[in-house]
Amino acid sequence: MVNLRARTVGLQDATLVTATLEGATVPTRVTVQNRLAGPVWPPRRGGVPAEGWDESGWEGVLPAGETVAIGYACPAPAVDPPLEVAATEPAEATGEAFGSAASVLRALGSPAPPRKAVPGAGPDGDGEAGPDRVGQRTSDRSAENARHEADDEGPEDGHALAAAGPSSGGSGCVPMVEVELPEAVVSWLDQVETRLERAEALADGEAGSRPTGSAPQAGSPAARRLEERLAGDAEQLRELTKRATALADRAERAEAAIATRERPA
Amino acid sequence: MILAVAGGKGGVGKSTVAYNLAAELDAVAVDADLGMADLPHDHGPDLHDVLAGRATPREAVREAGPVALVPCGRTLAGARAADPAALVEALERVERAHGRVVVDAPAGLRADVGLALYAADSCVLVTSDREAALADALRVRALARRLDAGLAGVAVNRVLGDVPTAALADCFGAPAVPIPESEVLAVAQRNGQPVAAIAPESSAAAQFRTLAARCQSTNSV
Repeated sequence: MVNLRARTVGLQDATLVTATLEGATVPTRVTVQNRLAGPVWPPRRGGVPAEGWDESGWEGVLPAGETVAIGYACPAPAVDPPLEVAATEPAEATGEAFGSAASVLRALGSPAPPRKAVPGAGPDGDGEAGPDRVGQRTSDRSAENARHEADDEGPEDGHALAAAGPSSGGSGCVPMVEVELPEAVVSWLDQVETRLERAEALADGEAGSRPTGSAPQAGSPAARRLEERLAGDAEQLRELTKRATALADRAERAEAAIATRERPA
Repeated sequence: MILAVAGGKGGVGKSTVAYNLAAELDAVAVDADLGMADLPHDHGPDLHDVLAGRATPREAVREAGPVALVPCGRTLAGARAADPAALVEALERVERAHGRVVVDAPAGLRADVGLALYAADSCVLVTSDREAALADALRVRALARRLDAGLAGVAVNRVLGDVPTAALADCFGAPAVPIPESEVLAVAQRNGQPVAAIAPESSAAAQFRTLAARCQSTNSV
């Protein structure tokens, strides 16, 4: 039976928790949960949380007959016990090698979009509002698993494998739910798109056959104006892309810098 | 040889690197981003069809363009119907038929990336020189290790100035190859061409040749 021993040390505004896990007779995947009233501040490697850590605790493999030591900090007063074993299950191996495609799918979660995100797939038709950051941290996985446990994925999820993990579709993949843009930006992009549709109709030679009949005749002054307008649109869109990309990069760096400063040294 | 191109962060230019690497290595490029297709696409069977059992992998290979290509599907319904685990066998079948495969993996750390890395013999990570992109690339590095996909090199994409390649190589454990921010590369990608086809003397083209050489030397070990 897995045995957990934990100690706490009081820091200025936080508690340092250290623990050992032992007593496994077979390789065992162990999940431990923080019981202090604050988020876990995990050890970090190369600036990112070490593997297995998330805001609620740690998950990893305890090899048979061995002792594993873990430690973390938490911005909350100590309680007794500070940490508890939330789950244990036999692990596939002492290492974390994946033996099959199925094991990869089980461990990492299906990338399929949720049923509700597929148009016409269900009465709602809206996408699940899952976390839609790309580059999802592995440490967020177990917190997300818990959140999505209750979601009804439906019997058509025939995969025994997909059923083993949530298919939020949002986190880790390019988001399925659209990002909202400011109204003024949407309005301008819509105008550009309207001009594009007219131009594409013109290029396809469908002028007059479109429902709105709004595409100009090829060679007309209106068509020439449209062409000039589109050249300007293309230039503006490229300029916008450059500026927006640069700002997005800066925003992410600033976000990361602020997050780093919120930790104690 | 199956080479996965991954990176963790969206928008770093994985697809551009994957496409150009496939050109240099004379490989089939497979767009395995099941949620959002990036590489050139036309009508005909695509990877969604293959993974849903509606087409064979060979039927989905387009050989008419400058780079042989398996495009991905573009519908949410298709993404939902696809069996991601079937990707491994699909890639192996394309490899058996064509010899070399470069897989354009999605962003993130879900099973779609995991399965591409699981199937691959080696991988290339794509990052920008920004902190957030580097952090995400390190996470994928850790995943690639677990999935036994040796890292052949790190492409540091869209760089404007100097890049600390030695420090990055130390950090990732593989050579870092900077790819410059390049108008000809952007134009080439928009037109579905490898940059070597329209601007072979450009520095971007030279860097892709360097990166491809790293991939080949990794695989011959």
